[in-house]
Amino acid sequence: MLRSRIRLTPEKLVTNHRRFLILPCMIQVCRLAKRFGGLTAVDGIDFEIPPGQTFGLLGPNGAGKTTTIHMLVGLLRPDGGEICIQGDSDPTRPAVRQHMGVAPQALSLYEDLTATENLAFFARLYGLRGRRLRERVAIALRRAGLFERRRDRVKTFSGGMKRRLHLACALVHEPSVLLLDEPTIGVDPQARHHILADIEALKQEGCTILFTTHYMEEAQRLCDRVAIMDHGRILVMDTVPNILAQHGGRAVVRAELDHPPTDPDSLPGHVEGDSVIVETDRPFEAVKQLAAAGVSIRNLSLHQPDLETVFLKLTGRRLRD
Amino acid sequence: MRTIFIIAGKDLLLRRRDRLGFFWWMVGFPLIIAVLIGTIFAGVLEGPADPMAVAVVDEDSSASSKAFLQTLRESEGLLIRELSLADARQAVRQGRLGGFIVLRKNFVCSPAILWGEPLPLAIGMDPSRAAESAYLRAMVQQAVIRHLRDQWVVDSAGREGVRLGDIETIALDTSSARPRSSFEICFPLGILWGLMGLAAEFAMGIVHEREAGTWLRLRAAPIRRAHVLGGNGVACLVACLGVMVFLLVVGRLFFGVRWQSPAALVMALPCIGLFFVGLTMLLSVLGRTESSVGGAAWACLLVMAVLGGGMVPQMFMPEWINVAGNLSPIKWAILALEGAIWRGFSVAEMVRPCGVLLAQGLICGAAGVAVSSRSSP
Ligand SMILES: Nc1ncnc2c1ncn2[C@@H]1O[C@H](COP(=O)(O)OP(=O)(O)OP(=O)(O)O)[C@@H](O)[C@H]1O
Ligand SMILES: [Mg+2]
Repeated sequence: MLRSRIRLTPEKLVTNHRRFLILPCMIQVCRLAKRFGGLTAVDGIDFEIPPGQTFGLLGPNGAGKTTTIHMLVGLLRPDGGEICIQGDSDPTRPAVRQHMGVAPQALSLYEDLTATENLAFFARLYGLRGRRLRERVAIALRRAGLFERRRDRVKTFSGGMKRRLHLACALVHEPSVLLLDEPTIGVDPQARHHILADIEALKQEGCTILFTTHYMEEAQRLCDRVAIMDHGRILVMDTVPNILAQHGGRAVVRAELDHPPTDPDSLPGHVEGDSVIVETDRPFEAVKQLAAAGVSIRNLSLHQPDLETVFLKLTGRRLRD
Repeated sequence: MRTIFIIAGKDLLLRRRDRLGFFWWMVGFPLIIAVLIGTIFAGVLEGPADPMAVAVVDEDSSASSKAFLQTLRESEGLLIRELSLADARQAVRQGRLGGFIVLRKNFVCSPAILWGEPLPLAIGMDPSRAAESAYLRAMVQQAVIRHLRDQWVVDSAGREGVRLGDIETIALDTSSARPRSSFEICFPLGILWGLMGLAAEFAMGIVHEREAGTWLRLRAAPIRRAHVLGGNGVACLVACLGVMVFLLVVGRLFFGVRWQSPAALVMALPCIGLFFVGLTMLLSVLGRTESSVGGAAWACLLVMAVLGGGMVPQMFMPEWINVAGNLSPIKWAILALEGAIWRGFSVAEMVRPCGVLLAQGLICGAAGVAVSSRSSP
């Protein structure tokens, strides 16, 4: 563990440990490991998140995402490796946690309290009081779209509303670092959209965000960088376009024709029955070629490589069964 | 400290939101115990025993038997009714009367009885009621002697003959060291039951929090475990003090329960409250789920209550239970409350029950906190 207590701020690019590069990082993790008995839940992972970036930890069930987050907030003691959050190596220190917002995977709301009471309680734990407390609670309520329901008990809320409030409780005290463990788990598409829009807005405001998910499209939409995790290890870590370029393979254009082509050789790609399938880096060009060949197309589909494809390629398994 | 109060405030709000539980444990249950048991035992303590109701069967119906009957009627300890022998037997068998006296035929109350002549009367009693039988015999003998003396006084024309010396009675001032009514005994019981209910409720609340996601969320906030536990403790203490003050006020206003030594009361309430805080901490680690803790908590509480005289007032319990009860904190809590209500304990006399309660609370609390720190993050 790091012993130094020097604060690392983005302005003062100081490092408190030789092993870390001189980088203005909000979160740095080095060879972090956690075992539960014989099971290695997290197996020596490294990553770092510069201020204002959104970092996604992607992986299937049991990949070790929650375990990683719990070590980052000090709920679990790592068996190996180092953690550094805003220059501090001990995430159990109240001064470190003060600037962190956490939304655990399991809903953590008091069902018998109202939305306002929940938010106010968590805000008070972070030292807010008086007018600022009321302002922050009101802002969080509006942001979660729950202002009209603020006086209702949480147990009367729908699953999506609870998730939104759960997220609001994590950011009511304006943290500079947000750790979100599967913020959209178990919600309908509408609530998911709302939550993702929330996270996008936070990103605009300069918040540093680490979030975990099984949903590739969420990571693709939100993350500056993504790490794909499986069995406690990070398989790849980069920006989404870079990962796709390196591991995603090519786009697939599939054109179903009205009649089987008379001259298959004049067409790009290969023919299967009455369909033409083209694997290409430039799908638009392929479509233009098909149109130029004068075939009559009944149906056209384009499959762009995504992180799901990458995961399948790297592990031979799908993310969700 | 502020953090502790924030958490305590949340705990109390959650308890209060659980309306049924809150009012039941704070108000309903303890009051029912206090008022119900108080009413049931009301006769046991109130005033001197009523005179014993007995029947007299006058088989002689002569002037002499009538004169003796009159002497019997004048006995303070007896309430006389004249009945036929059959009716008298029936009434005693049914428990409506304590016994009956038969004045035999040719009844004379002569001084010869002082030299062994049998009394011309008989007493009918339920043989299982030995004490009452002895009482009735003594009352009758007293009446005989009074009757003879009165005859002599009349016979010797104003000159006093035989006269039994009065037995001096020493009047004890027992009013302060005795409960004035059964409510003074049953309100402490009601309070204790209310507190036991609260302890079980709070223990279940703590486990509920540990089971639910909120515990992790609290542990990820910039506060220490001590804050969370402290908050739980403060909430529990406030609720306990609330129950005690509420019931004491109701008892005083509507049931004549005294607060005889206010200083003792001021010592008793926080000590009892702190004991229950410690107990709650221990109860909360007796299981992993809310329902298992609820069950285990009540099992412990019931044993403590039985031993400590929380089920039946200790004055009605066999001696050996009173000795075993010294281990039960419930006994000491009741003693502390009674000390303040009717035993008229001085501050020095309160030190023992309060000290025992504080020590037991400390032990329970330390054990509970130690186990919970080991088993949760
Ligand atoms: N307290 C624990 N005791 C024992 N094993 C645990 C514990 N917590 C997690 N594990 C194991 O560690 C592994 C990683 O779990 P973790 O919860 O981090 O996965 P995850 O990536 O968050 O999965 P999910 O997407 O399902 O939430 C799993 O195999 C899990 O069974
Ligand atoms: Mg998880």
